[in-house]
Amino acid sequence: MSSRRLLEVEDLQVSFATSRGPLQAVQGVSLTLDQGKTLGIVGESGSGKTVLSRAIMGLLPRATTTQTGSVRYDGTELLNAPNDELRKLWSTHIAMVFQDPMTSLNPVQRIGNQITEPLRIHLKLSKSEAKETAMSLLMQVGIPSPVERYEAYPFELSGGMRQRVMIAIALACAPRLLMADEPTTGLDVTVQAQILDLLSQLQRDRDMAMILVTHDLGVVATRTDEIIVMYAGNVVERAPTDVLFKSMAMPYTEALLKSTPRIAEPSHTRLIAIEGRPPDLLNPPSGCPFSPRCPYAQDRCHVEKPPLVEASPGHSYACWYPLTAADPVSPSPQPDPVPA
Amino acid sequence: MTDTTVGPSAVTTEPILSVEDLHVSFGRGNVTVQAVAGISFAMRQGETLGLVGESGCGKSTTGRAIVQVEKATSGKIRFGETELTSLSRGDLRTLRTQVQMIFQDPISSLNPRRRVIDIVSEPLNIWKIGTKQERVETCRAMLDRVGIDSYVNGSRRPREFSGGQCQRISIARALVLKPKLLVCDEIVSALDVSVQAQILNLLQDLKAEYNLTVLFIAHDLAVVKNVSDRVAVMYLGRLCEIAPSDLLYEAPAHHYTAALLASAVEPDPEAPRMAAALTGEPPSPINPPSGCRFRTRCPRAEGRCAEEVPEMREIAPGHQVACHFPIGT
Repeated sequence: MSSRRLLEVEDLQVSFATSRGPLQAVQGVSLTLDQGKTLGIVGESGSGKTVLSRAIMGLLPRATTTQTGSVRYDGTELLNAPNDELRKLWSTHIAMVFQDPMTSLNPVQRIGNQITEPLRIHLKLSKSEAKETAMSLLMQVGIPSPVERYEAYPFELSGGMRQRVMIAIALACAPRLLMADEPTTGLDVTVQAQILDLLSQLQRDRDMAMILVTHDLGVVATRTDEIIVMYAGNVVERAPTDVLFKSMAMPYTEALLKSTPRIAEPSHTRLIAIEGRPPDLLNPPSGCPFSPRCPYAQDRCHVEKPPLVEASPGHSYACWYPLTAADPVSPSPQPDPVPA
Repeated sequence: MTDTTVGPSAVTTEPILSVEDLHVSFGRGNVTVQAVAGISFAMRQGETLGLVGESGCGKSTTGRAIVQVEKATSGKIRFGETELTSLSRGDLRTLRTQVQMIFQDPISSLNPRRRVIDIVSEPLNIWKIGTKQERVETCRAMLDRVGIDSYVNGSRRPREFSGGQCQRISIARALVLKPKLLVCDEIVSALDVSVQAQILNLLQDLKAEYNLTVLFIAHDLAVVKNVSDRVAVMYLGRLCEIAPSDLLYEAPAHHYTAALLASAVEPDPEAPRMAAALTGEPPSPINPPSGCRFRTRCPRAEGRCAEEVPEMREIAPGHQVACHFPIGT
């Protein structure tokens, strides 16, 4: 399959006007995504991952946000584009699966109506054509007895089933880019595995690009081509998935991984917690945003903010004293021996 | 830290809690939901028992029945020498000094109008333990121990704290009376990974310091393995399997346990990736399948599974399973 560039985000900045001043939720994020590829965006709450995905979709309220930079989808500029321009792309080109399937579905509309709506509006299908397509979508996303489900209301379905419906709606008009914001958070593990497998399979079948936003490194470890790690509104590391897990350079990525309990480790393995909390974005620390919690931080880290530098092809990180210190293009001299 | 593993805590053989054939049903008239349908287990002094299962399996109801927030429909719950199901209200209050619970949502489980120091000192005030001055000191020490600076934060209210800090305050409140048994119901599932690790480490340390016995209810298999000495797996109101943690995760005997493990995601691209082991969702507890409740989704189910409820039986020392055809036999 061809691998043409589908999405290009350049220096995207998003700030919210709050009563305590502007809050910089996304601070200069750049990323690219090719057709058929999957990008994982990983971060904890408040890292800006959801704001980033909504800014790409053009879903943030214009009145209270300032968005600068550029979001190009297949050459078209999306950022601050008028809504009727965006509406032409939504659903047919870019679609989104939201986190909470209960509140994202319309509670007083039957499932069937909610799936046929985009088909009728965007693809101008007739009522019967739309119904036929909706049925086949319900089958594709693995909903048993679609004929009955077509007439059901969201409250009659379980969380997993609702998320399948959300996916069916998102896929109805065959988008080329699917944004999935925490698609499995709140679902049980067995259902999570089913939904993730379903997304991967549909993506392969349709050669669709996907952005998988999650807080869980486990979700992205085996299902993405590339991963972006976000912290306090910044991309702190970006690498192909296998490179990221093998030779992570940013101490935050390492800390995130080490604080995650694993099944492969024996019981009672002491977790290496990251002390402290993410910074207050209204009053961000000077220097590297992770420096107050970083075990390797040195004087420079507290003063000067490290830029995101591409140290080897495809692998960028924002750190003065990266963990894999052997990079010749490393922006800094070798760190002093660091305290463990 | 060089040594990253801590041995399982000292466990004696004397059971501190034993649950026998516990049933909890909700609803009345024609429709009853058997949330817990006959489970039995015992906990020894000083051990951490993990209770895992998917939503709706009855794990929280079990925990709530043990602290008597939910009334057991039938069955016995013995705590030390005391039978809990038949306690009078007064005796129950006394009991609660020894059995405490920590809940899932850290923010809503704290009274938003009260100061942190009042929240934590209330149990002491109710039981009039020590002089007023001593109580305040106990509270401050407790708050400092869980990582909340009592002089800076004592007069603040819950909304001024993050989820992780509120969970620390909940822990302080639960431990201030020095209980023997602590029931933790999904205490880290609302927290970020980095904060989750802090809370889990804190719980491990406090458990050793206070010689606690912990019932740790959670859905996250990796978290449960990390904190537990033994793990019990629940499905649709019944127990499937109980075993020491490492054994259960290494050699699950129940098909449901194996399916759960196959569904878990690990932060490792080279971890073997299995196809989703289970299809569909658990059946409704209003009308559960006959015989083995897992049989409708079990790859190994046979006619016998529909007719006969599998009893819990021991297949190896400490390893019990409720299955007619356990894995590896």
